[in-house]
Amino acid sequence: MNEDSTQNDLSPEELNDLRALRAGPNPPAALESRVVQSLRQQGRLSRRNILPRFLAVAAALLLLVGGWFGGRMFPFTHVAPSQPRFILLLESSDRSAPPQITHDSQEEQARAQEYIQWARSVRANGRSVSGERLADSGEALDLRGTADEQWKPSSGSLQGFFIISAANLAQAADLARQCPHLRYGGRIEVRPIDTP
Amino acid sequence: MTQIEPIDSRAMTPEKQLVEKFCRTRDESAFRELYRLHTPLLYRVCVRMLGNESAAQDAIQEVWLRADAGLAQFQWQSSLSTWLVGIAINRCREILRERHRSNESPEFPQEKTVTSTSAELQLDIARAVSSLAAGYREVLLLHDVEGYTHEEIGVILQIDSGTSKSQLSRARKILRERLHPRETHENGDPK
Repeated sequence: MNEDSTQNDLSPEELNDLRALRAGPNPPAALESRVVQSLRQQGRLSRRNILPRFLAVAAALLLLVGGWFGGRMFPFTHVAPSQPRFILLLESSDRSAPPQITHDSQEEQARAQEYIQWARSVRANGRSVSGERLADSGEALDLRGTADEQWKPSSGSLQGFFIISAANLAQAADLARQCPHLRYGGRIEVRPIDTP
Repeated sequence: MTQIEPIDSRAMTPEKQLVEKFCRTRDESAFRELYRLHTPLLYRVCVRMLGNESAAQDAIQEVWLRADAGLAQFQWQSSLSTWLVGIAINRCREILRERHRSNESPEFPQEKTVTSTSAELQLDIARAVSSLAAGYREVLLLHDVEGYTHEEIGVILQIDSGTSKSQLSRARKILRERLHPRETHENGDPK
């Protein structure tokens, strides 16, 4: 990589000392996070979509924990019947990149565990929790029932949802704030489910 | 532009795949891998050019934003490292011009001391390199510190290899004068 220059005004020791400058300084670890964050803020990085795997694992766990029998999907044994329900709409913060399905099972499983722990915490104290992942395909219909052929699920928007029970909107929002989806750059919209 | 062979064609293949993966998927982990491969070198260059780590960190952030913007169009006529260093050098030049326009005092210590321990000698060399004019500093850093060839330096700095050689010769001469001023003064010529 390095050729010898005929104008060698430096001694071998001096050249070695120059090469030794290659030892550092090293970039601080925080710089990587800073650079990644700046790219992320400009929408230039996609985030891994762990929701599908999480929902699959979380649903299995909830079914197991809830003692599911006879084909019931969401066994909730301690639901206060009068508690209102809220929908948590899970969105990605990256609205320009398509959702990514990763195959890094170790990292996905680790993140899925976080979601599972969150679901367990929601279910504690008699609250209900259920959820579904939305597929990447679909149709958008207008008033005339005509499908918009240009439409496709907005990249980085709605990826899935949870329905939880809580005493009120404030409590539901507090529960949603603990959801790991936010820590991974996602956005959660908390809406009361309107019942007559 | 002269076609320059990659430094290590074996290393280029997985790197090229990584770049293509990142451009296609915008996957964060792919970017982090690229970042970790190249930032140590880029950071050293920026620190030596700008004289402090804070400025270098700002520069690095901008370098990667620019690299990201141009990566999909990168034609691999040089190594990725060479291309990235070119971006870094250009950013450093902009910063130095801004400093000059704002009449900011130089970041680098101009004094030099003669010491005997190797650690102090290395510090003297670092200071002496930092005291060089930006153009000389660039060539010396790229050639004698980071090991780029004159052809590669030509790509990075947009000069021909002959200019790189003559700049390096002059840079070394000045460096030597600053490292050994007593010898230079007594003899009239650098050894």
